[in-house]
Amino acid sequence: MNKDEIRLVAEIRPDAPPYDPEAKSAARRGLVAAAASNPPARSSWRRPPVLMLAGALAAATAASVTILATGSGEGPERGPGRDPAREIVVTLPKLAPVSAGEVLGRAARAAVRTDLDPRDDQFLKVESETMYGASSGGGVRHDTGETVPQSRYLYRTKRVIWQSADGTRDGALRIEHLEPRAYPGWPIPQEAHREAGMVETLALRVCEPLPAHLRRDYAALKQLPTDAEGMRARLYAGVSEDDGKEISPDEVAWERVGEMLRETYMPAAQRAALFRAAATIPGVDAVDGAEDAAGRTGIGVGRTGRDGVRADLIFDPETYELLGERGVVVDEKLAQAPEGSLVASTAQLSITVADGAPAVEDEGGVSSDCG
Amino acid sequence: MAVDGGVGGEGADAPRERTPCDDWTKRVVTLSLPQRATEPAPPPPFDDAALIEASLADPDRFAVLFDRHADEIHRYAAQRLDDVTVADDVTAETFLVAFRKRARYDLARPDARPWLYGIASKLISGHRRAETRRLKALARQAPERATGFEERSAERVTADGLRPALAAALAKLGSAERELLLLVAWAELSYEEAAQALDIPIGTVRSRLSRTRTKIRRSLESRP
Repeated sequence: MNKDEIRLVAEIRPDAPPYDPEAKSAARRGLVAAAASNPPARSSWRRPPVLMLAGALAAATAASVTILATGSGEGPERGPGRDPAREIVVTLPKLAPVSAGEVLGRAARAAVRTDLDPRDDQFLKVESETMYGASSGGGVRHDTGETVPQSRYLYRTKRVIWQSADGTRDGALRIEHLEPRAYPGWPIPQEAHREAGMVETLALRVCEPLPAHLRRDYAALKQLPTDAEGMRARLYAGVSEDDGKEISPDEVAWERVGEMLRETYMPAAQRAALFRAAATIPGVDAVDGAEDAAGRTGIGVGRTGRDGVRADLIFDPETYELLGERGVVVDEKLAQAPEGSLVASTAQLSITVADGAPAVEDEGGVSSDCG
Repeated sequence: MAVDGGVGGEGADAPRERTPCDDWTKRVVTLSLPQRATEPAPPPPFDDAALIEASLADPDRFAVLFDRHADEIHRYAAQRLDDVTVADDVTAETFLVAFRKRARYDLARPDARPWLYGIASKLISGHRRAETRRLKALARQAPERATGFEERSAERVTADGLRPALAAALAKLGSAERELLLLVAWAELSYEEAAQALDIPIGTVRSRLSRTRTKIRRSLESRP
């Protein structure tokens, strides 16, 4: 045998059957759905899970975006993200005189006082304002070989989302881009300003049914447990061993709390159960003086994640309604930003029931069908 | 808004990679005209590491990695496993696992293929039965003499003749040995890439391959 054994093995390599297009698109859909629902990776908060609805359709939605330039991206100058200062620094969170359990308990009791009752054919319309981290660049262009410098900034938007109550109808998402803010320690890249003032509307097509655990429509949320224990089990469900190595189950559970509330309408009974379950997650505590993206001050309830950022839900100090969310750096090293800097901020402005969602025209003959 | 290479339906809300040439004049024009804003050019083709890094802030972008490499990973899984639906599952799972682990990706490596192959390899080794069936089928497969005989190299003919014995030898290897050997022989990874894929030192790649070759040689020599 004078021939290399590796080459012999290479020569008997079997032919592979082609990748079935259906299996392939199913795999891609699964990945997109996971991207829409997974906890954020380090250093940046995830955007609201719009793909929940659009889930099955990635390229499809992108094809039906309409953009209008309005010339103005600014709302009233209020709220931590509105100060055009280069960086936003809040004071380091100080423990509130009340416990997280107390705050969440009050929020749970407040939850059952108000409830919406949309019909299956109606839509939940949620208005919010958001500020999240964005990063780009840091790579090498294949065509020119030039290095594209890395940049990081905080992008801000005003969002209105219409989601079908039973998850069977196409929804819509209107995004108005506001002026960006500097990510603490990073200059704002010029191009970050480009989108400010643009308004776009995306169709959120319902294609194939999403797996139950990824659904966030009202009908699906209504099926969630109404007791704290059952809800807690949901929060911790399916955290694999593998996940456990890089992210603690408690952190996953806390992130899921945020995901269930972000741009959704959680029915009162489930909302109460969720707040009670959230109170049992280790590491969660309450801090005073947490401001939301609309400038409203409340009590922050949150925990610090592996990225060195404390993720708070902000509650109204009197009504205990949920106001918004924020992310504050508490570990400079992990977060690669100065302590006390605000790296995420949102405000939930209103949740109402609507009879329909705006129709979004498909453009340029590009089909936005699901197939 | 830009269709981000097909990533995520919400691409419009996400900041996209843009070409660095963006001047003030252009921006003013964009904002003042009541027309559809000029669409930014499609994002430049970034390498895998840049893409993975961008996906930390914008998870939807990870789908581009799938578009780039899914076919290749599927081809390898389908070569290794006798059941194409299992290969489908392995491919889907490979990218889901990669997505979850992306924060730990070594950004110094512009090509993510070795990393993806490594994940796929582990998943493949969890499908023992489909893998064994493939090796058995390989042993049975008759050499293709029907067509293009003269085009076939003498080497290929040799390998075909040895096919049953080679398949048997492959089946007898330890799974770590087979994993490495097939990454090099079938997936055509370099030693360096195989070392990255399996997360072992390159010295171990060399010594393990050398041991594996000896085993195969012995196995071929001892065949009846």
